[in-house]
Amino acid sequence: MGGVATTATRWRRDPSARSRRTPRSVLVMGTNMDAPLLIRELGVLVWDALEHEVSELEIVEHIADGRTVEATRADVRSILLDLFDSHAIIVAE
Amino acid sequence: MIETPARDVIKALAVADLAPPARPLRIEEHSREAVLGAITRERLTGPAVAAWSAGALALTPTDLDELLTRHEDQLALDLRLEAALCDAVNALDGLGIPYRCLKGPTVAHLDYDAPELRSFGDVDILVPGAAFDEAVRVLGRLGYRRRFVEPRTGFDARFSKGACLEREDGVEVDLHRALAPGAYGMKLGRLDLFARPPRPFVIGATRIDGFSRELALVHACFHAALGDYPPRLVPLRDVAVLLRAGADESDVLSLLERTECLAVAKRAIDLVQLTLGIHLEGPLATRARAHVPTMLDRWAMRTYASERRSYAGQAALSFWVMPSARDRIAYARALAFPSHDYVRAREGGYARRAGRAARLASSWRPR
Repeated sequence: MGGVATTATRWRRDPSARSRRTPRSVLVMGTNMDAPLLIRELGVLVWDALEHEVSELEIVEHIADGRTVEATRADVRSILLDLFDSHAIIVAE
Repeated sequence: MIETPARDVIKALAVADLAPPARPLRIEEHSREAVLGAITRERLTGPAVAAWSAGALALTPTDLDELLTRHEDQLALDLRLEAALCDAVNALDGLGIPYRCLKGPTVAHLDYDAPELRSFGDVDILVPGAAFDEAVRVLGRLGYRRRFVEPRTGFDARFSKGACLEREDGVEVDLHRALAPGAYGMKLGRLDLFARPPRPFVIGATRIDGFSRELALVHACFHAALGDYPPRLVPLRDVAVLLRAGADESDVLSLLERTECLAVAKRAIDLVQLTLGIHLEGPLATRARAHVPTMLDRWAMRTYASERRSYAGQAALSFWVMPSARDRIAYARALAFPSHDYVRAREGGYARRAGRAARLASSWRPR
């Protein structure tokens, strides 16, 4: 992802990915993965934002709230990387 | 707030979304481990978390954290099992083998308010008897192996409830030929369970063929009444949920009466009342409660629903309800002269097997 994606790259959930939700977390099972990825807090907000096609920048603007944009951007990028590596999201065409 | 004994907490949690408690439930400090352990074993973490969210269960921050961790573990298992289900049905579909997904995933996605409320511990798939051995081979190519040897080649495809298949990582698929072992499985087997169109649902990108709601309710009754002894809470909960979801009760009644299996529904509905405290109403519950079990019902039910529950007893009774003499002969021959591998794996030797057979013949004759 790092060498290709930019903050303008648009992401969406992989239609094959499946999830379960608890009051504090979401478990996301990507295609061909042996175990689900457990995400909490900011990760849940990112996953919810990915219900529709969205860019990293749009996610950051949506959830930055009182936090500094730069800190949020770094966290969001890290979560997107985890989700991508788990085959839970894809680049939107 | 009133402290509630551990077993009552578990039962109340099992129905908290169907019959909310008058006051919030509370876990006593000294029974904390027992309650959390039972919630986990009974796969009721989903209903417990839902009860907490709705204010029906009071938890300390520590207990809430523990419950949510256990729930996350269970949901991770559910997702792994669904992945296994998708792989299995894609493989069966690929060879044109008809199937129906049973129990957990089907009712979780189609009948419960949310899949998080219905967890499961394995995957159950029904295939026609004629395709059973081929289905075992298909799943074998996905890494599944039989947990138990069948008495003779082809026995499971013709007579058994099915076979438990296991992968090295512990994922289990129960491949069914029938919905129950023993006499009631044989009786229900008079129906063509594939004659009705499936009730499809989607997991990820995979379309899964589930049972119709009516057959799902029949199966839930079988699982609740004839499954584990003492009965587990989730199958009882399934009966109540499927009725609430709007199963066509007159259709279910007709299926059960045609196959002389109404005693199974009677026991399931009685257990829902006795165990969960829910008085089910409607044509099915009314008719089932009024059913007077026959002598065969009483005899058959003992092979499932008592301390004397035994596979051997169910096998003996199956013999008496088989539709033809030809089936009885083949069945008796397979059990009387099983393969060497089977005897070694299950009985330890022919002498021990002969002793058990003699005791069985004496204990389970009709009376």
